[in-house]
Amino acid sequence: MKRFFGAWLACLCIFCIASVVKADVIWEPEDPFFEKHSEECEYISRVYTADGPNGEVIVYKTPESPKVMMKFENGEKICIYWVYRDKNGISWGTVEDEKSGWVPMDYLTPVYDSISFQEEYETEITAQKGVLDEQYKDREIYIWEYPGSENVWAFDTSGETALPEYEKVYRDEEGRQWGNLGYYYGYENVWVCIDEPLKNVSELYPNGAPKHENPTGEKDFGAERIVPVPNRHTVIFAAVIVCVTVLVTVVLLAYFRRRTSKSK
Amino acid sequence: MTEYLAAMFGFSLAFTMGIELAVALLFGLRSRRELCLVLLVNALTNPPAVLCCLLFSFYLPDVPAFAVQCAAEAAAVAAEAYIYNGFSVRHPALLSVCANFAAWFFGIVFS
Repeated sequence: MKRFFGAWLACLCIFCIASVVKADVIWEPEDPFFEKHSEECEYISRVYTADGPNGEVIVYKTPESPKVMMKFENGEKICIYWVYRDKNGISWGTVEDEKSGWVPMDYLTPVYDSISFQEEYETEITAQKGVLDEQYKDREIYIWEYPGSENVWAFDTSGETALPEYEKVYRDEEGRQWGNLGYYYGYENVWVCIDEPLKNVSELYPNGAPKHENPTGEKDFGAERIVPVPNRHTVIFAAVIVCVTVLVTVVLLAYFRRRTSKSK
Repeated sequence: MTEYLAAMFGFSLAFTMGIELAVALLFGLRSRRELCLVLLVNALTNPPAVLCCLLFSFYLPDVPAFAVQCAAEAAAVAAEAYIYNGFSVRHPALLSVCANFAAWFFGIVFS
C-alpha cells in the first residue's frame, strides 16, 4: 500500500510540472498549433495597427479555434512575428501580449516601415551591390529605417566594425543615393544614405522629412467577420477517442461488477 | 493536431485520476478494488467532460467556458456518485463532490 502511495505521489509530482492545466478537465500546452505548423509559418516581425470591423480586432486561440483570447481596439499597435496561411487562404498572425493567440491579418494595417517603403517605391529601387565608401570608416554614420524616416540610429564604425554592405539602391528626389542593408549588427532591413551617411534627419531634411503612412479605416470588411473554422477531422478524432474510452471503461466496469458480485 | 488532442485528453485524465485517487485515500478507500474503481470511474466521466468543453469552445464560443465546465462537472459528479453507490462505496455522493472539486481546484491552480 505504501509503495502504491509513493508511486502515485511521484507520478503526481511529475504531472504537476506541466506548463498549463485548466480546471478539472482541460490541459492546454503552450500554442501547440504553432509547433505543429511551424514549417508552414512565415517569419515577418512587423508592427501593425489594429484595423478591424466594428472598431476591434479579436485574437483567437488558434486559426481553428474560435475561443476568444483578447481584443484590441482599432488604432492599437500589435507586433506580429509569424504568419500562417490556412486552407481557405486566410492569413493569421501570432500575437504575444497578456495572452497569446492568432489574429486575421486582413484586420491589421502595417505601420509604415522599410517594407512599406520598398513596396511604394518598387520601380525606383534597383538591384545594386556595394559597400559604403572607406572614407567613412571610424566615423559615426546614421542608419535609417527607410529614407526620410524619423527612426534614425547613430552607429560608430570604428575599430573592427565593418562598413555596411548594401544590395539595393534608391535615389531620392534630391538625387541622393540610399543603400538597403539586409542585416547590419542587429538592424534588419535598414537604409544608409550612401552619398551623405554622416547626416541625420534635420541635416538631410531641413524642411522636415516627407510624411509616409499606411492609412487605416478604409477597408471594406464584407458582411461577416473572419473567424476560425474548426478542423472537422480534429473534432471527429476527439469524438472517436472519447467513445472508445467510454466503451472500454463500461465493459471493464461491468466485468468489475460481476467479479465483485461473485466474490460476495 | 492529433498528437495535441491525444496529449490533452491523456494529461487531463491522468491529472484528474491522480487528484481523485488522493481524495479517495483520504476518504479511507484503501483496497485495490476500491482504488481501481476510482480510476475506472474517472476514465468514464473525464473524457466526455473534456470533449464537451472542447466542442463548446469550437462551435458555441459565446457560451462562457466557466458555465460549460460547471455543467460538465455536475454531470461527472452525478455519474460518479451513482457508480460509487452501485459498488457500495461509503459516502458516494460526498466522495464524488470532494474528489471532483479538488481536481477542478488544482486544475485552476496549475493553469
